[in-house]
Amino acid sequence: MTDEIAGYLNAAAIFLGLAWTLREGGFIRVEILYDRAVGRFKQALRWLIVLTATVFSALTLWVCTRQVIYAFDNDTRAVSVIETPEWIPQSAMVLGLAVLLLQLLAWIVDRVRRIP
Amino acid sequence: MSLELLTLILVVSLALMLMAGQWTAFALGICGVLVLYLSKGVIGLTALSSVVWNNANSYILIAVPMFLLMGEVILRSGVSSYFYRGVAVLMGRLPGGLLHANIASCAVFSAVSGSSVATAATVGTVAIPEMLARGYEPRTVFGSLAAGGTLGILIPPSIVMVLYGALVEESVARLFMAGILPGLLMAAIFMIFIAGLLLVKPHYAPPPDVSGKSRASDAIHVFPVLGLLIVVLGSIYSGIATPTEASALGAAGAIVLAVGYCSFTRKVFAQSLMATVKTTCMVALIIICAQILSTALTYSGVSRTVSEWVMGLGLGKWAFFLALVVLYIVLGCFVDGISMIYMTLPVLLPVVKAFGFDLVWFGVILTVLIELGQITPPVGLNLFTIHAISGGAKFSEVAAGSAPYVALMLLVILMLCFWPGIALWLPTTMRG
Repeated sequence: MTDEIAGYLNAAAIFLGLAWTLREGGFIRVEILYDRAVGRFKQALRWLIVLTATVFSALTLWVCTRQVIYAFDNDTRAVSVIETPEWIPQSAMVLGLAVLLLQLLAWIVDRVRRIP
Repeated sequence: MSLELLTLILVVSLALMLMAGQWTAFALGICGVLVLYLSKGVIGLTALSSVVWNNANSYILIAVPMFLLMGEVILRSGVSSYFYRGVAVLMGRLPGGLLHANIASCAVFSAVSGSSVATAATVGTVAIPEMLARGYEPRTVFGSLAAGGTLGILIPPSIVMVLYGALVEESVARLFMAGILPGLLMAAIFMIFIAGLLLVKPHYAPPPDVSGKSRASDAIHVFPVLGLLIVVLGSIYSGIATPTEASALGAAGAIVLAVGYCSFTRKVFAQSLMATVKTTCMVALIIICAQILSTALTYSGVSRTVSEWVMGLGLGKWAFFLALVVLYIVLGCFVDGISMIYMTLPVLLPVVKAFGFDLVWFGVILTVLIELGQITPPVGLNLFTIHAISGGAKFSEVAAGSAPYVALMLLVILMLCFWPGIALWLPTTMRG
């Protein structure tokens, strides 16, 4: 049982930390071109990065939200002693992904000038 | 859509994303979604949610933040500096003593920290100012630190091995034990190399420290960290604890040590936690997204096509192995180790199994190859780390200093091929 809950907490920590890690520049990338690019080219790269990441995050959020709604409606339970309703721990996933999307959208509104 | 075209689209889009500087995790995920959509349409995408959830909610992965926290607390509370001074006293009488102290501290410190970057940063922050002040040749200093730091992922606990174990469903405890002897061997080879270098060029290091500045009593600081290491690894080796349980034990032990040194403040704890979150999220998202990609490859059949193509080349066992080594060396120049494993293994693992390689042994080889990638320019995480804390040295100096160690690592791989027992003997003696 402790293993199960530790797993949920770990997953929650991961998802809820995503947006912050993104803003702090915690994700790694291949810097060769990006770090040397300047001016318009750099701005174009930033748009490419942020837009594709946004589409990906939105898709993932949409799919995961549907999953959680499904789990809630059908009352699916974890195969364990305490039979945790799956939607409870999985809500952290949806919340985390939503905040991640929000961060990316905030950058788009800001015209991607401040991405790390 | 034909599989050839799909494979081409995948390779091109992945290369494009990575080169443009997309965050590696997102690049993997985006290409995964693209392949999934092109081969199965919107319905294919619904498989995503379980991939995302199951990879985040995994028992083995809990070890990642715990081992990271253990290293962070020891680093930020300053316990590591005491430890380094202790080792420096013990090694100080040898010619080029502090260079040996670097390797030895890295080897031990790597055992309480799961990552190479943390190891290099920890030992480097203490060592670089002191050694440059005493007149060591800078490139040699940087090289010993960058290379010594890479031991962090070979000597357990090791984040890379946790992730490899989770991916290929091999026992993490056995992988940990398999890394110990190769890690010690590599440390020994590094030290022999340094001794040899100093024989040829004695002016690279100042004469042994006889100023009496360092006190013999400092040596006692070696023991707390060694003790923690013995508890963590001992509990895994004896079968008392799983690697995940041992990781939590280690994190708690690190906090106890920091409290013992009266340096466990609120600030230290908060900074350690935030640094842990940052690295954990980075690693976890790479894993999640790489698994999205690998699911897409399996569903679409690209995976099987590539595997069959590799098998169809008619390579012998060791020719294939050589090709793999070259592939990982090249990839390692650009991509970080974890992405490298998770990008390639889902496709290559069936081939590796078909050739009858032992997966524990293969994990050790892969870890050495990742270490190698960490000190090869242009993208070598350890080079960046040492460069960042070197206080104004040129990046090329750091890279040049590390270059000989690349050859030494290849030597270790060669030795592992001839004597697999170096890796595989210790796991066979485990209980439980």
